[in-house]
Amino acid sequence: MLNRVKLFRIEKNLSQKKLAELVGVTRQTIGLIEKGQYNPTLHLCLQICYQLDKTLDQVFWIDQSEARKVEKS
Amino acid sequence: MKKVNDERLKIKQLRNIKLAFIFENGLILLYLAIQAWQSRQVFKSVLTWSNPLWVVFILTMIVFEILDQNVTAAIADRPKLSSQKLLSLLSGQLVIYSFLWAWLFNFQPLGLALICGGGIALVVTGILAYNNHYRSK
Repeated sequence: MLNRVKLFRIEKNLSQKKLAELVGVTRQTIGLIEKGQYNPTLHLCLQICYQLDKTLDQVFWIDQSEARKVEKS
Repeated sequence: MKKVNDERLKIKQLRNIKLAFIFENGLILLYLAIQAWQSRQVFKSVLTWSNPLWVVFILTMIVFEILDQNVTAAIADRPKLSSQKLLSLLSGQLVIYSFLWAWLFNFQPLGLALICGGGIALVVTGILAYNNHYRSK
């Protein structure tokens, strides 16, 4: 899953630690989400979107070619 | 232990518990195997209710099997078992397990074999009945 968490977080002038506190996770989890190394649950995705004042599709999306590869495997 | 709120860490912790469970049961099985090898009388000294390690292992596996029904039943996605089918399974198991216990007791006393076999049949049928909650109609 791809995302623009880092971009919108910097736009809102939030540190990883502050965003993590606001959504109730650790700073490391936010870091992994930004790097695309952890796929958050829908609940956490929405929490992040609310804090960044963005909609879900603005922040998170799936690369369709990647999704097809996963489906085939 | 500190309460974990982070969903990623909860998953990690579950994986850690799974690994610890595998390690713990692996050691129990290894110890039981050593006991069996040392005593050479497997049924009398190892696989007996007076061996607490064996009792803990069996009870843990039964609890795990019961708890795991909500996962295995969802994967299998089979239709529900009717009451008649459950009853026929119970009576079939009662006969088979009682016979096995009777064979283990050299066919004496038969009443005890029936109670032991009935107990196992009830537990297995109970698990199947519980499993029905997760099956399709």
